[in-house]
Amino acid sequence: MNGQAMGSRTVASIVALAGAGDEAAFAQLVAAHHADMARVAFAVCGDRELAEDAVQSSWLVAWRKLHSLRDPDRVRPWLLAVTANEARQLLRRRHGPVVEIDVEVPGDPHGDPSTGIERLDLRRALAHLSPDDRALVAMHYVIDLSSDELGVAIGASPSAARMRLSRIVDRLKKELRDG
Amino acid sequence: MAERDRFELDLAAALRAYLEDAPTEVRPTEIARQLATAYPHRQSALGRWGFGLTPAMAWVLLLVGLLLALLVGGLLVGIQRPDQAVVVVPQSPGTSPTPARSPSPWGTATAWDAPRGAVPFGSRPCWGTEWIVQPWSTNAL
Repeated sequence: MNGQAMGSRTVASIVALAGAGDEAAFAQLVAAHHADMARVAFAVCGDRELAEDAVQSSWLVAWRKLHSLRDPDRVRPWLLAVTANEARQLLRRRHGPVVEIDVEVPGDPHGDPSTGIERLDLRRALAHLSPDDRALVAMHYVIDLSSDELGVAIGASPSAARMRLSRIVDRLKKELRDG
Repeated sequence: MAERDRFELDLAAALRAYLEDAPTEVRPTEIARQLATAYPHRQSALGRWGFGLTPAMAWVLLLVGLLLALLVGGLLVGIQRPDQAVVVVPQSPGTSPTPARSPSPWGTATAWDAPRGAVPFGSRPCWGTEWIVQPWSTNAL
């Protein structure tokens, strides 16, 4: 089950119950969103352990603050925003004010040859982005958030989110094509 | 969102491959149980009789209640206050009101004309005053 698979009405009731402290409802939210949150955290940190810690603390934040979420339909971007924030804070605590990720590549450095973008190059290009920009790219290109949801996640209007994303893509294009 | 160009499609595919390393495995019930045990949700101040109110709604209701109480209190106190002017006209015995010698351009006001709506002193009780009936008042007639 993922976030989109839950019907809108079901999401509202699950979020309400989870916000009130219902364990089973909260477990459903975890099952639906954990993987996406882990991807965002990993995009921000570039480190499995840090990403795991970030997602754990995000669930703690969600457990405590879910009741304050006004629109239950926005739970997905809300959870992803919480995760990006937790990951950024963990990264800052670990590396100090400079929050660039390491360009050390775990696994295959070449990645998927069909994409035309090598894993090492991608990692290096991502390292030049800010943590928030890395989260935004992951939210859009991997988790497929709409521009409305991106706006919710970054606390801006959908058009502002689109503009920011467009600037990031231009930058990545330059980094990946020009090296 | 606009159609993705070739670069964006490549970027999305590369990102998906890269983020496969993310720690996505989880035991949802375990996380929920641990959080519920370590950080149990507090009961609201109203306990189980919370009427489904969120804290924000409860604060708004409390504020509205206070304002209503203030309004009702103000009305109750305001009802008991004298709201009409009381005019005391100093008069010596034997004098009678006479019209002004030269008529005023604003009308024929007499020396004892009271403002419109004024009630002669003594016709109704007033806070802090004694019940005194003046000879010229309607009560004395």
